[in-house]
Amino acid sequence: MAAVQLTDEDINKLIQIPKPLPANYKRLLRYRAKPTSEQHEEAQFDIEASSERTFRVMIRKNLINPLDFSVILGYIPKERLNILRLRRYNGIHEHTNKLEGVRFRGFHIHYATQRYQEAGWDIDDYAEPTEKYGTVDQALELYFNECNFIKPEDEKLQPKLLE
Amino acid sequence: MELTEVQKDFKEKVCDEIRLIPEGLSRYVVSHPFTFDDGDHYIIVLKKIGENWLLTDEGHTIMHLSYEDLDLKHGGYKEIIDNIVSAFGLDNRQGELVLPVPETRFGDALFSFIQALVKLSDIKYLQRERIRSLFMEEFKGFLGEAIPQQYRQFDYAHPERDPKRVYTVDCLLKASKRPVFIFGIINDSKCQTVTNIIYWWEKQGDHFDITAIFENQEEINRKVLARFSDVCGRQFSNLPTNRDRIKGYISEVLAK
Repeated sequence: MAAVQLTDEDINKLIQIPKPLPANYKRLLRYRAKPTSEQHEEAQFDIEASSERTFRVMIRKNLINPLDFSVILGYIPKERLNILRLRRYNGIHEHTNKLEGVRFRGFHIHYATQRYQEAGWDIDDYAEPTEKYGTVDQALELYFNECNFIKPEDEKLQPKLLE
Repeated sequence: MELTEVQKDFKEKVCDEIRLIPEGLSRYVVSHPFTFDDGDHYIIVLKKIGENWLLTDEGHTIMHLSYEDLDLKHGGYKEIIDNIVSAFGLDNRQGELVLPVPETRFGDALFSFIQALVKLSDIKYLQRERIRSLFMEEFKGFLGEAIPQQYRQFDYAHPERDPKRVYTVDCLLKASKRPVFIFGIINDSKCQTVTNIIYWWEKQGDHFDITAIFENQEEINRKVLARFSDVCGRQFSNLPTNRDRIKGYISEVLAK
């Protein structure tokens, strides 16, 4: 059995930790192309949550195909030098879950699991198809809700235009 | 099973796995079984531009590599990508990997394209090797702070009996009562090597204690760890959560 860095319980606890978004988070989410590729844009920033936990918001957006994107929740443990991906809200492409042998094509969400680590795979190799979003912006909103991000106070007070 | 039956089975199964899904004008997504390590399939699109067909990843491969937080413009990655792209006849169009299909040889082009994408996706393992080498830097940095300079020596070798420095100790702790050899263990190979080093030192008849600090003891093969445990004294399963404990141990040893 391979080493497990996070148990399912650890993962759930990390997801539930409130993650306060900085007041300027929309500016931090302005996408920029990288020197290595002009075909996709990136945005990312770190958040220090309570108990000195550091999370990373990472977004990738393909400029050729707007349905190809990834909105990622990373966790940076104090004692490790690598990022552990806890969730990944992906655009449309095929995916195969290696342990279950299930293959599908469409929007899908990668979840960190203990069992994939035990089997020697990466922590977030398991994914499930979803119909909860159809664009990167919708995926981002779902990500903020499901991963317990806390928006700045002034945003919370603004009424929603459409319910 | 007859060989011809085996060949037939191979052909049918492989053919069944490759399909074209029309999505747009003269644009087909190639459905295939080849994936990144995380289970996401490589994106391969067959497009017709003018009179010519080409295969493209539409920029997905390099975008996918960026999930690993790799700095692809440094560390030799750019040269590796360029070499792979060139070796398989691809073009790198500012991050979009493209392979023109020569003379309707679609199958040949697809195989070349997939091989290139597989090689490119392996670049992330270079990052993991770099992370491992950083542990020894962290190990030395920590001991450099925890042990006063006059009581420590890194990469210590026996001055008379090991002039070629084959059996070096990561850090010698010069305690007055009995020196302590401290090793940093990053993987099975280092663990096995240190076991052999300790055996050699034992044969020299010198008196010393052994301490090991693992990068992650849980990742060490059980048999390798068992053999190591026979010759090692104090062990710390990792550095980050044991910093205070290790400092306490060092103070205790130096105080004796």
